[in-house]
Parts: sequence; structure tokens; C-alpha cells
Amino acid sequence: MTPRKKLVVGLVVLSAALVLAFFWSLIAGRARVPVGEMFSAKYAPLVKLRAARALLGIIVGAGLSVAGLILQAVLRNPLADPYVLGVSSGAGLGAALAILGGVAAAGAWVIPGCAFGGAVLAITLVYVLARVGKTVPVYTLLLAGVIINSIASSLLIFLAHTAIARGQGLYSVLWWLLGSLQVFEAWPVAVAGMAIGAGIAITILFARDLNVLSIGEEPAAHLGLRVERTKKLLFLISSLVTGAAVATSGLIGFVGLIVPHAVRLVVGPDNKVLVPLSALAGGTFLIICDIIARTILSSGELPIGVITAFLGGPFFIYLLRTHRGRMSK
Amino acid sequence: MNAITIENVECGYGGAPVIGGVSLDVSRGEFLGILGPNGSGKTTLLRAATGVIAASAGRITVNGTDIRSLGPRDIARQVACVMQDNAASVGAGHLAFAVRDVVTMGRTPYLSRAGWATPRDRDAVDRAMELAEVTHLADRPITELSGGERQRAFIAMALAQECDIIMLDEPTNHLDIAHQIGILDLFAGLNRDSNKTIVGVFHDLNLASEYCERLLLLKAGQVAAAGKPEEILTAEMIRSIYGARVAVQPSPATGRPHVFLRKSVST
Amino acid sequence: MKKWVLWTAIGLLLALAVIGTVSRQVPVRESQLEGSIMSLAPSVTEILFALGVQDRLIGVSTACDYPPAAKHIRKVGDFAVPDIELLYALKPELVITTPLRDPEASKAIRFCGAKLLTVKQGDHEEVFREIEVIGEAAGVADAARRYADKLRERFARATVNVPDALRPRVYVEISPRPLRTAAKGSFLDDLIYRAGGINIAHDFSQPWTTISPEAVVARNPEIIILAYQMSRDAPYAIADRIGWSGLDAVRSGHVVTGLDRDTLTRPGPRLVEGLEALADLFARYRKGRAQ
Repeated sequence: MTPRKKLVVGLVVLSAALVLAFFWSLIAGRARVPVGEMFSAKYAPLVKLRAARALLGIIVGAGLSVAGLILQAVLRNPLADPYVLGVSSGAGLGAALAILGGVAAAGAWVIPGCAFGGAVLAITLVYVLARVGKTVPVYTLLLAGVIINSIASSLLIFLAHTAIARGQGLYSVLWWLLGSLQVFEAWPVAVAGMAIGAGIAITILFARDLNVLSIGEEPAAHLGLRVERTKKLLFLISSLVTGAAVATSGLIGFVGLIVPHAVRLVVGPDNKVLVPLSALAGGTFLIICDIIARTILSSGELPIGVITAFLGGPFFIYLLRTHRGRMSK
Repeated sequence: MNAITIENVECGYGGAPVIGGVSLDVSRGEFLGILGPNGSGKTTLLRAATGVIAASAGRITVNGTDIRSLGPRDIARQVACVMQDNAASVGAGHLAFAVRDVVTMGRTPYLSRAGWATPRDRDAVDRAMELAEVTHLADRPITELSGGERQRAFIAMALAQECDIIMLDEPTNHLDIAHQIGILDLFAGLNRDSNKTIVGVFHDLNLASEYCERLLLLKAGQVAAAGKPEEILTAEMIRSIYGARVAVQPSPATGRPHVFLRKSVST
Repeated sequence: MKKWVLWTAIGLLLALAVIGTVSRQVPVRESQLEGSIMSLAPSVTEILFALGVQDRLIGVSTACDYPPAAKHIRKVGDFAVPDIELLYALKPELVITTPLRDPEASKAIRFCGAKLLTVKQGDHEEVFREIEVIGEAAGVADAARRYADKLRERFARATVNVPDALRPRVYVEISPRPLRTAAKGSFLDDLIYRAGGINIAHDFSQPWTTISPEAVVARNPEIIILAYQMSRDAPYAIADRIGWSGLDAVRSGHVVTGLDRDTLTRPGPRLVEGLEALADLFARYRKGRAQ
């Protein structure tokens, strides 16, 4: 099948899956909404709430999947996920500071705003640390990401300790770290949607560049790619998309790692096909995970990060084994 | 007009320049070989000539135009490059493109961001694969090929660029003798039949002697000598540039000078 | 990687989602059930039972465990974390909770059409006052006032007046890992003083604070109270802690485990029982020492 045909078939199939999943999430939940009365006025407030959640799930799932895909291609490492460059711990730190600093009451925008700010700070630090002249070599980038992640994590642990000592706030911080698609207002969904949508659109335009980068930076340069510029742009997109996702829904892990691999398994490594299909698959995946998170316990909801980890953990192990096997060849 | 002119070029990686004050003209349809000890700046010179690294001094032109006024895509339509060992770069399993896809990447300088490959592109790819004799491997993932097959695939990629100038950076270093001869025969054919300009960096002095009509010898970032193989490959020259004691005799098969080792330890 | 692994994983995921979708669904009520109440905090649940309105209680949190009958009421969330969907389905008229973990949830509660009452329970007087507030919201203001006054009375009676020199040094351990205790600003600290003891951690800065083993050893408590669930051997384990065998409390055998933790740490009506238990304990200690 030519790439173009694969893309068309994939778009049709996954779009259908996405729409089905969306409507499924409208009727799934502890409060029973009969399928026939989905759009009636009686259930409207509840259905609207669920729809907002599902929408956020699509946006965040798509964003994290594409962000992970970008990093796997540019860093040429199949174990890369969107959080590897420090975005996650920076955002986590920002959110924790907002929660424990007691300013969260000032408005619903505070925690996402501080989380995004933390993400931006982390990205900037990683970039500054990793830069060698005008270039950003992959290995320094990874190293810088590890460093910033460690520093931010240790600060986060310190904050968690403070929360324990004060006897409050720890629960909120923990919940944020495990991720949740709970949303009570429309604007976070809209903002995240615009940011992530733009990011994905640009990535689709650069899909060919992602392909070419996979054979090496120097060969890519010889083929006419502006390697450094393209790399920086793609890292920026990945980081900002991840930052927007994390700011609105907390740290949902494994999505950015598994979804690109799963889709690649079916359609192959061509990013022109992979980018849009990973976005759709990621959105669908997260909606289903959210359905499980909301309904699997008899009361209350599980943090969605638990569900993705439950599936992602074994997948990750499997990945590691096949990757390791291939490397030893 | 020369294919490539290099005038007084100085180039490096940030610290002290690796090549300084190098001047060189490459005529169209030439098969030029660049030789020199490790660290003499051969690869750096190649990179400067294709614009991958910027020269800190001097001027480089490709087909008459200063490369500073050309974008990377423009350069890529005129100069193709086959590097040493792309094998290391395709180790990861998740980047297992099929050979055809890799060769299609050679069309990058002609493809637009949003578009797909046109029939014209597909023709160029098919022809390139034929020339490089990898058509039978078109649908195999590149990660599953042997070293020799992989190198041919990357040669096909370079050929798909449809450039008049092809630069080679020790393209046969790690391959067995049959592949070495096969690949260089391929380029010799392109040089003779399609008048392609070939510039190759060689470690193997005998291969360079056989295939190149002109040789350039670099030492410590400077041009030490340039001329025909008979002029360049002499025992004294090799002694002074490489510091190795050798004997040079014309090949019984072709008459080109061949270098024979002189061990310092007798066994 | 094998494709079948992928399809199996997808199948598993969908199966879980289907199971979740069809199980334990609750029909959505048309409108508020008159007089219905939901409690999201154990102390609130205790108060509601004490006020006799438990029949109107249609939902409690997973942490509500007293009185035992409370455990049989439907769970509608965790401690101060409401399950929005259940709230929407069951439509309580009134939701009473301690400060919500997620302040955004208050919007959701109002969205479900319920009135939200948040109670703050700092010291004992606030607890008694909140009993009256809850009673008012639940429509049993008089009964609540009477109940609160009775508690105030019992509380005052149990309070002892003892010169500082005679007060035993007391260490209440709320959790063993990390060591946590109560300090000034917490009502437990206040209870200890009213019961006739002195809290060795009184001067610490946070009301509920961690404390280092060295600090405990340095302050040498005469009575150690372990306010958490533990195995029967635990008191001996205390003696095994390095340096602790020399503590007065350990040497004299005053390591107490029988007190109900909730009467000491839960800001509800039973803190009066906690005070009475502590007062009794300290009185016996003083008498024993006098002999």
C-alpha cells in the first residue's frame, strides 16, 4: 500500500474509532444515561461535563502522542517520551508550588498557568545547558534533560515533604502528578486545544523532515535539510505541546511512549502517515482509559495515570527487551 | 566553469581551524581523489565544500555560484554525498524504513513540504536503485541489510538526488574487496558515461590510484601536493606525508602506481 | 514486536472499558430528594448520627467508619473528594464536608444542584459550634444546640486544673513512619493540657508535625501514647528503638496503646471521650507516682 493510501485508510478507520469512543464516553459513567436519551435536556448538564472531559482527552492524548513521536524521531531513541527533556518535572514543580503556596484559590487558571510556566522554565534551562555553540547535539540534550528532571524532582520531593509536615496539600499534589481529565470549565480545553492543534498541524508539515532525520543528522544535512533549525523547531513544538497538555491535565504517563510505537507497528515508520494517525490513536486511547478510570471503582475515580501505567508498564518492558535484543545483534 | 572551486578556505569546528588556506579546483567530469593521514582535514574539506559547515575564511563555489548565496536545498540539487558508514545511524529498530523509502529520501531537495512523491520522483528512485543494483531489496527494511547492501542503498539515495557532482567519504572502508571494487566501478561508470564529477576521500592509496585521474594530498589542513597518481604516489612523497616507508611499483594489470608495504619488523 | 500483542492489549483495554461501563450504574434522579444529605468527612458523619438524622444520609465518604452503621451507607466519594457523577445521579439536597481537597469541586457540587456546607474544625469550641451549624442546615437546630451544650458540659467537667510540676510529660505518636505528633495549635495538644498532662512537642511550630527520635529521647516523656493501628507486639517494639529503652515511659511501663485513635485525632464529637480517657489515664499516673 502506498503511504498515501495507508494514510487515507488510517484516517477513516481511526476517525470512526475516535467518534465512537467520544460517544461511548458520553454514556459511560456511574450515573446511568440511557443511550436513547443522550441528548435530552434531563441529562444535558452531565453529558456536557462528560463531553468536556472526552474532548480534553482527545486533545491531550493527541498532543502527548505526537510530542513523543517527535522526540523518538529526532533523538533517534525508541525509548524517548515527551517528558524526557525535563518538561514534566518542571511543570510538576510549578503546579506543586501553586498548590502548596496556597495561591490556587486565586483562580482556576493559577495551577495550569504555573505548571506551564514551570515547563517553559525547564525547557529553557535544558536548552541553555545543552547548547554547544549554535548546535544542540542530541546527547547533551538528553543529558541536560536528565539533570533538570533530577533537580526538579528533588525539589518536588522537598515540597512534598513540606506538605506532609504541614498536613495538607499533599493529596492535591499527588493527584496532579498522576493526571486527571477532570475539567469544570471550557476555557482550559479551548486553550489547550488551540495550542496542541497548532503544534500537531506544524508537525504534520515537518513529517518528511522527521523521516529524513532518522537516517542521521549529517546525511540529512547533505539532503538539503536545515538540521539545527529544524531540530530546534521540533523540540520547541514537542515541549510546548507537552507543556500545554501537562498544564491542563497533570502528568499522564506512557501515552507519548506507547501510542507512536503501537501505530508504527501497524502502519510502518513513515512519519507522514504516523503523525496524524498517532494523534487520532492517542486521542482515542486516552478516552478509553478515562472511561476505565471513571467506572472501574465503585465510587470515586482512579487517576488516569494509573490506567496508562498499568498498560504502559508491561509494554515498556516488552519494548526494552526487543530493543535490547536488537542492539546486541 | 569548474564544478567546484575552493579558494583559500579556512574551516574548523569552533577551536583552531582544521584546514587553513586550502585552494582547489575541481573540473567537471573529473574523478578526483583526496588523500592524507588521519586528521589532515579530508572530511572537513568535504563538509565545507557541501556547505554543511561554514568556512571561516575564503570562498567556495559550486557550478560557478558562491555557496553562501545558495540554500541547502539548492546545494543538495547539485552535490550529493555518500558518507562512510550510515549503518550506525540506522541501528534502532523503530526507524526501519524500507530501502525504497530511504532511496526516496534522496528526492528531498525536490519535494515540497506538503506534497507527496510524483511519478517523476518515483522514476528517479527506480533508476537510482537499478544503477546501484538494489532493486531486488526495495521492500526490505534497511536495518536488515548487510553492510555492503546498506552502503549500496545509500548510494542509490545519493543517485536519486540526480546531481552532477558526487562526493564520497571513504565509502568502501568497511566493505570486502568484491564490494569495494563493485562500488567504485559503479562510480567510474557514472563518471565515464554520464560525465558526473566524482570527488572521493580515500584511505586506500591503491584504490585511489586505480580509479582517480587526479589526486590531492592533504597534510595538517594544507594541500601538500596535487597531480596525477604517477606524480603523487611516490615512495618519497608517501614517506614525507604519511611517515611510512613503502615501495611503489606500477600495477601489472593497469600500469597505475601501487603501494607495497615495507614492514619494519621482519618475520 | 508481534502484532498479536498489540491486538491483545487493545482487546483488554476495550474489555475493561466495557465492564466499567455496564457495571454498577446508578439511575439519575429527576430532582433533589427532599431532606437528603451527603457527608464527605468522618467527623461530619458522626455528628449527623449523633443528631439522629442518619436516615436522611444517602451517601458518605469511604473514610466514614463510625458508628459502624455508617459503613453500610453508600459510598459517594473519598475524604473531602466527591464523586461528581454519583452526586449528579443521587441529587442530594445538602452536602456537608470539611474543606474540599479540590476547590474546583465546589463548583461541581453546586452544578449538581446541592447546597454545600463546608465546616472548619480547628479546636474543640469550633467543633461544638460546627455541630450547631450542621444542625441548623439539617433542620434540627434545637437538638443540635442541646447536644453541643451537653458536650461542652462534659468537656468542661473533664478538664482538670493541675499545677505544671505535677503534670506528666506526654508524647502522643500519631504515626511511626515518619514519627509524627501534635503540637501547639492542634486540638490534641490542647486536649493533653486540659487532661492534666504536658505535651513534650508543645513548642513545635506546625500543629501536626514530624518529630525526630532524638527529640523524643531528649524530652524524656513519662507517658507514651501510640495512637495508631498496630500489632500486639508493638509496645515492646518501642522499647527496641535505639535509645528509647532509657525513657521514663518505657522503664515504668507507661506505653499506652488501647486508646481509640479517632477520639484523639478526629475533630468530631468523640473528642470529648478522648479528653475523658486522657484525663483518666493521667490521673491514675499521678496517683501511682504519689504512692
